[in-house]
Amino acid sequence: MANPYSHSEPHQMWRRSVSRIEPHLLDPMVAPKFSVTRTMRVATAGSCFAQHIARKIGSIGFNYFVPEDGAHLSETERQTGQFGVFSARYGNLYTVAQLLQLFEEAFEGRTRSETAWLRQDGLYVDPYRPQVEPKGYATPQAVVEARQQHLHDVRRVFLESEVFIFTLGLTEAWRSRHDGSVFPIAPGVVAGDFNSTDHEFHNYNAMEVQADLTTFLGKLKAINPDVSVLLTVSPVPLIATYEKRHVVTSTVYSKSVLRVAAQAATDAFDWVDYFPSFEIMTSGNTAGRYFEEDYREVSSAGVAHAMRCFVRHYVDGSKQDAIPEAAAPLVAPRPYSSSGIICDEEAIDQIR
Amino acid sequence: MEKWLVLFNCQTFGLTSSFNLLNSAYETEAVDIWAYRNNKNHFNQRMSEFSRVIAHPEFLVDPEFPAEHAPNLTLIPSIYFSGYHPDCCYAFDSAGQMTSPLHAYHSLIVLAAYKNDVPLEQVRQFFNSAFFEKAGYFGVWASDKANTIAKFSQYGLDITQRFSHWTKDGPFMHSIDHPAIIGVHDIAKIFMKTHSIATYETHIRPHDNLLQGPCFPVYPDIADALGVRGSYLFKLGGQYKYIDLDTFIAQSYLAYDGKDKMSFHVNHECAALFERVLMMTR
Repeated sequence: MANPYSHSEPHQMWRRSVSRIEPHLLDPMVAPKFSVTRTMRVATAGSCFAQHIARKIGSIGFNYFVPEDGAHLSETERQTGQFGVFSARYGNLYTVAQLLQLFEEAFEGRTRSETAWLRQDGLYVDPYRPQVEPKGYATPQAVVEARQQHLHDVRRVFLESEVFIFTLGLTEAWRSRHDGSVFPIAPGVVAGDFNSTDHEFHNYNAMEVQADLTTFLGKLKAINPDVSVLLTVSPVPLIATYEKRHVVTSTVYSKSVLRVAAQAATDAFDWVDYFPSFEIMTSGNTAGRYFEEDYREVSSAGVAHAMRCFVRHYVDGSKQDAIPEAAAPLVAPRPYSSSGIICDEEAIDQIR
Repeated sequence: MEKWLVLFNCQTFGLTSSFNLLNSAYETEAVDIWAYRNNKNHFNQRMSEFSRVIAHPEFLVDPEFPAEHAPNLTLIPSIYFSGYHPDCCYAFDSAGQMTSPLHAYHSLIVLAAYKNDVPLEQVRQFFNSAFFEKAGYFGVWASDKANTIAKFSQYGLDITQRFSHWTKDGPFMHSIDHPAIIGVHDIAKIFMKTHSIATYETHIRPHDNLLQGPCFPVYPDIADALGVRGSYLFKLGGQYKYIDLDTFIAQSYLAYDGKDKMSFHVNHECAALFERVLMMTR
């Protein structure tokens, strides 16, 4: 009797592609939409998970595009100034709203009602990237000028990248009541001052995130027709939720919203793809092994697994098949024959 | 009560203890291969005391083993799997099996480097991801998995489903032929289920006695590919103490001094890899 699953591929069946394979062999990527060569300019932005991708991209021989590289500075200054953490020093862009607003500021003259936050030490920081300049700025004007220079490099990221990788991180955000500008961190935490007249909490829902993402992608493609976009969802749970519910519940809500938005964009645009690093990290098959002891930070083994799958599927000219289940063995199976190898008596004595 | 005689190798304790935990209706007697060899007549004469003899296939190689008199003789192979430790091997020269700082376990790279007269201080350079990749280390998992499943299948034991679960809590091997207790316990369980023997389902496992022996590390680049934590710390046999890679290399070279290096060879499972590593370390 025919049924609609009769001709399903192995990857569509849980037992064949999840239950019966070792965790490190899980590979949920199926049909990448484009290839990435090692010379293509690859830019990154997004949440803290995207930092892992950024670090790995360069280390495995890709052309990690970093217009704001601080080449004139010492290595120590570059590190403390977060040069190279992303393609430009925008800091973590946790929400799609931040990404869209950054683009609009860089290309459409979007202004911000708040342009500098006062820090406890009397210096000023950029409210939209408050931790990228640890030295701070002496005046609010200095913050503005630094941001103008930064926006020059942001424009280069959007104009010149050939692959733009964005990791969607959060839906909960703090923003200005006056112009909706989203801050990466609540006012008052590292700088600035929270007050309910100027600031509000907002938890972006699926429709809002989807709308912002669609708008951003449309604007990006208009100024960079050749760009391809790779979306991922950060598996890192919320460090805190402002909603009156458990942080686990809020986390699943946020990640679900982001995953829906990522899928909608992938379905809508043939130059946008979704890479399932979230699924690799959080699948029951990998069973939490890719989180550190706080059950939150992602381990290097998890990042390595995700990047293995990325390279396998996206790297042009070096496509490796997923590790085959029935690879030709180096030594053919044979009836048991003595190799003469047995633990000698002293060795057995150790373990008796 | 039925009595079983379990004749096995270093996995004897784990296997027998697992049988005991899985179903207390059977009285088991555990005899490892050296205990058997040191008292062969005694055990041969007692075969009729047992309702079942479970033996490692190695026992059939001995012409004095009374296979035809062993009641319900059933063979279970031991677990040999080098996916975590593709560099690990047994090594021999013309005089026989050689020992290393980790007793019987050698490094293919160190052995090959010594055979090729690589100066001691240059051996460490071979321990990197690019070398492992070119040598084929990253492909060992798939081939060894296929071989292991096929080997157990030849003895009527289907380990396919459980194999992937052995990896859940980290490496299930301490070396190429010393499995963690999770695998040994599962083999015992699969054996009993195959023979329609009811088993208890609890969380208790025998203690992992093979941890007392030497333990080869999962090298960091290999570990990365397998989603586990790796190191270059080699656990010594008989003690809870590590030596690092440099010490392992130096002590291996000392162990090889005076040996007939032109006759160096390894166990057949590692022979193809050794040939490749020999070429790469010239």
